Amino acid sequence: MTLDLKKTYDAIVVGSGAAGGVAAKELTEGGLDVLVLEAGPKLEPSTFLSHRWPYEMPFRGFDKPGDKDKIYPHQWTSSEYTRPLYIDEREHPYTTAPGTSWIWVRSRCVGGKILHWSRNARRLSDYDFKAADRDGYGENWPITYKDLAPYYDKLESFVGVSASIENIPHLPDGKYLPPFPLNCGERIVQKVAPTLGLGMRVIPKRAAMRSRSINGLAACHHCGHCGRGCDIGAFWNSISDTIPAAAATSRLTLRPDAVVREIVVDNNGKPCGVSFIDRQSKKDYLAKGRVIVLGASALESTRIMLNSVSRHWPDGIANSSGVLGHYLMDNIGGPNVSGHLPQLRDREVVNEDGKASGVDIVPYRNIDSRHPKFIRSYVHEGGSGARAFPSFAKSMSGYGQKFKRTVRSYYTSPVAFGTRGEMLARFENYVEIDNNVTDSWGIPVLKFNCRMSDNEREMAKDAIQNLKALMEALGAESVNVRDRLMPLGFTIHGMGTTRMGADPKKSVLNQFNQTHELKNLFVVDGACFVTSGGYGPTLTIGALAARASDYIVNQMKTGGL
Amino acid sequence: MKRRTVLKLVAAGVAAERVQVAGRQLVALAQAPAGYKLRFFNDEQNALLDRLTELIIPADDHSPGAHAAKVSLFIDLMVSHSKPDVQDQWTRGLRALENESRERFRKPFLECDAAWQDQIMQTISRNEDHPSTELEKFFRILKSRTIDGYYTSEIGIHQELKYQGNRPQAEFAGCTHPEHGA
Repeated sequence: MTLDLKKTYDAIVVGSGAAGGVAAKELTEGGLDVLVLEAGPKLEPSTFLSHRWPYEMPFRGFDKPGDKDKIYPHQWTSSEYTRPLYIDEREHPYTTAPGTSWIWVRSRCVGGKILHWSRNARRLSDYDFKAADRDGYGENWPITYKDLAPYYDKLESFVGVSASIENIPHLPDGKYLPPFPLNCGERIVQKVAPTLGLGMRVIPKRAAMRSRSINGLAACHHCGHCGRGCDIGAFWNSISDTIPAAAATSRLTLRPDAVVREIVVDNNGKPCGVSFIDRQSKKDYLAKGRVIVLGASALESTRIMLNSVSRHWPDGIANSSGVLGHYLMDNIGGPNVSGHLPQLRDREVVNEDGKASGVDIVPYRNIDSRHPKFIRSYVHEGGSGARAFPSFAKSMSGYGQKFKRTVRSYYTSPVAFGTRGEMLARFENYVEIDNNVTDSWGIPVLKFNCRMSDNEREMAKDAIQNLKALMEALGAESVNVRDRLMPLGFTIHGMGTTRMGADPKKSVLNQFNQTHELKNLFVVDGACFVTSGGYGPTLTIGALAARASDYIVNQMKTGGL
Repeated sequence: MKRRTVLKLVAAGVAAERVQVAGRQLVALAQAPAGYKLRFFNDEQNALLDRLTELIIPADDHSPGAHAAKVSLFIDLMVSHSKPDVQDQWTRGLRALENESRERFRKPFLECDAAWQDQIMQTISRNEDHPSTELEKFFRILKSRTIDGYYTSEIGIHQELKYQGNRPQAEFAGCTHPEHGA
């Protein structure tokens, strides 16, 4: 359906990724007429370069030299294969306060970043939701695991998560499809890691990609290039699952190329619509809605709210608390090791990267005991098996026949692990509007003020030490240790900035992702997070969006909205 | 014109200028890339680069090498789009290598025999992890781009590495070796 500017929609959802897609599905299935505004274009999966060989690409997949510096300096996961899936930073600038940094990776297209995410779909637990009770730091979430579990169930049952049942208290099991089988190196790690005495336990990656077809959605065909966008839609990517489900209700209007400027309020300061600019024509529009649901990604949703300034809301909409924009978080990333398992050298090459899902070493710190140097936990993500491009060759010395033979010999034996960990929520980490800079649509941009604390640094030190120990226990050869903690934003897990809470003075949202101050304004993406957890937030974002949508539908039916 | 022929001309004392012309023809014969015209390097530089990449990843009984994979042309493309300082590093590197060859063996690199060429390669790859001289730094970028070009070529992926992925398959076969499991 095309946008009707005269109509007042039951709900306007801003964004069409993990959060917006789930909200669109749940709200339309609940009987609401929903308008989804997406800042970018609608991409056709048939145009994704999922199966393209490097030698079929003009620059072999490496990018035209210089393009990255000029056009995509912070879009580090993008490549020549994925250009339309990422923004052009010349059109979408942002700024950072002196002495601070933030790597802001963005996708503006229907589906957003979930078109190329890592598909790690782990549930949080009460170890996260009630973390403050456990170690005394920060705030609890205003929900418990029990509140969210039914929505995790529902989401997993619809999009499909392939994983194993493990009965780990701090990593609750879900409704799973069979896990993807482990390859040789991963099984070796699974056998060796527990012998370190650190409490390491290795399980198949909990992957929001389908090992079997369900709900008429495609099963994975193991080509191995999920990051380029899936041309058959075999993982949770919004455009193949939640958005079509919403469209099937005939109550969805999807308006791509709608760059939202601000939330428009009535004479009482209450939201009544959303103003947006057409991405291409740059013309202004106003869409009307009873309920506004922001799911534009944590930082874009917050930017919209901070830019929604009126006489009622001089510091940004629903921001009497002054908390809007604060408690910005990412996960920590960077510490990683790679090496080679001697027993796997010189094997016959088999397809090992086709499943595109490795293994997790589940969080083992600060679970049963307390680490003296830091609080909270982290996960190691990794795997083994021959990848198309042997990047390790660059760290192999020499040249000639011997060098070539060495690369061939090591090709079947790589093993690598990285780290994702919890970043603490701190008021002094925040975003604000930089009124000196606007994007290509004249909308003021975000300025980031975000720094690591010693807790993150100590956690990273511990992680790399343990990864080194793991490589030693594995007897790995040609080991590379990279202990550098990457700048914040690197893991593409922007969270916080409109956090939930029971106390309206210390939070922006209540337990249903509804602003404390405005009943008809919701934020359903990662902005609502109170703690960052030790790993990717996407599954929890989807579950929270489903829960908030359920609440909206019920409230509308009972006259509460 | 065959390489042997060029060498004969050199041996016969044919003027350097004439050899250069002959060299160009040699290059044209050797490469004859379908539809690719050099964008940055000239024919002599490309011939030298072609040889250097082949010395880094040579043909062996397993698969063809960097020459067959036309890695020098990939490097030409990448360098042609690079910043001037990167481009300078390549031209200076090739020149320095040529000078090294003429100083040590009184011959252009391409006219040195395999043993002499290898001596120069050994020199420039000596401090691979901590390169300091111009030639050592040149070896680093040369090797890095050779790896990029070779292992993303059809020859590199399919003949040399025999990569088995990037093909749709209904089931993914995991590890079935009892010795790898717990």
